[in-house]
Amino acid sequence: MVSFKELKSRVQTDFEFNRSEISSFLLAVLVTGIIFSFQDWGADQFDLIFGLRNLAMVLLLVLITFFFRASCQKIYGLSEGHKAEFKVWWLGIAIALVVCFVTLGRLPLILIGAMSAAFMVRQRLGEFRYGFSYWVQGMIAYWGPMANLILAILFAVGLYFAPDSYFFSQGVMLNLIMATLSFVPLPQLEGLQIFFGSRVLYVLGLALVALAWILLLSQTAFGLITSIVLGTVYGIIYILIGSEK
Amino acid sequence: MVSWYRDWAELLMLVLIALGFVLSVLLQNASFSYTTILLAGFLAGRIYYLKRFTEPILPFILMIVGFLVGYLIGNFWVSRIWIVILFMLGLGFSYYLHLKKIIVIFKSENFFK
Repeated sequence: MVSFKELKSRVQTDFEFNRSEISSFLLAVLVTGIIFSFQDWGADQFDLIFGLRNLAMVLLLVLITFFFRASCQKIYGLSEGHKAEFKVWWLGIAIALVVCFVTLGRLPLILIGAMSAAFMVRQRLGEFRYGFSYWVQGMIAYWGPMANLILAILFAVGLYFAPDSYFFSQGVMLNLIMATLSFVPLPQLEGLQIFFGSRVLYVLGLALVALAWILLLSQTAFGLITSIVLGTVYGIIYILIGSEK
Repeated sequence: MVSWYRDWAELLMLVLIALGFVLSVLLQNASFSYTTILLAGFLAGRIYYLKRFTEPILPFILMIVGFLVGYLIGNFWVSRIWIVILFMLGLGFSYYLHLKKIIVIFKSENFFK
């Protein structure tokens, strides 16, 4: 990892979302929003206003989640001299939508695609043996579910103080499901990139996601505090190991 | 005796017929059924665009037609003519978007490398 000053400079010059990425993201946000609000269009009978309000909230939620997730991955990529770009998986989006129709929204899937990294030679000059690295590619992908877990904890904090909030409850579920599905080892998703980056990382990530499911869905103060403490400790260890240069 | 290496196209076609049938039976709402077939048409258009210069192309056409036939067989609640029309519309529109490079594939020039 580079110094904070260098990272700031890289973010200022190279952090961007291009047009194709933005259009893919918007489509993915729309489809994911529909899938996650599918069961919330009225309690007993169809209610348009109620449904549209829920859809708007979920769309906002998905937008925040996708932007935060992609930003984490892009910034990590820049810190390692790689440029990450979102690659949409059309088939995955179609599968998620069809599964939603078949199960009437009971099985929400998020199969939107993954980040693909390209090597930026200019940013790697002077570094040891520069070249494309599976490890870095895996780590960029790994930042996706980790960003989801960070957001899930934040939404869980909100849910703890406002237990009836639709926004926070959907936020927790969305991020946990997205983090879980990120580990599906398909070529178009991030799971395979993490798997080829490091088997240990893959297993660790899966264990962390499983732990997050148990702790956050318990909806107890103990579960929430434990997840915050574990997340903080994990972050500190990561910074201590990663910021050696 | 069926050999996978020799009869893979026919076997995959049978799988897709079954998939189309099951999907169609499970989708009991007309609007969902129409949306799904439109999406399937889009994907078929993409597959056809990807494979249009490769030989043999017949297996891929067989699979696309197989899925459509399976879907039509299982469709008891909606109009079968509209299903075919929507599938064709989806296929044609998707093929056009790919041809005009509005939707790109990994071999396209402007695709991220």
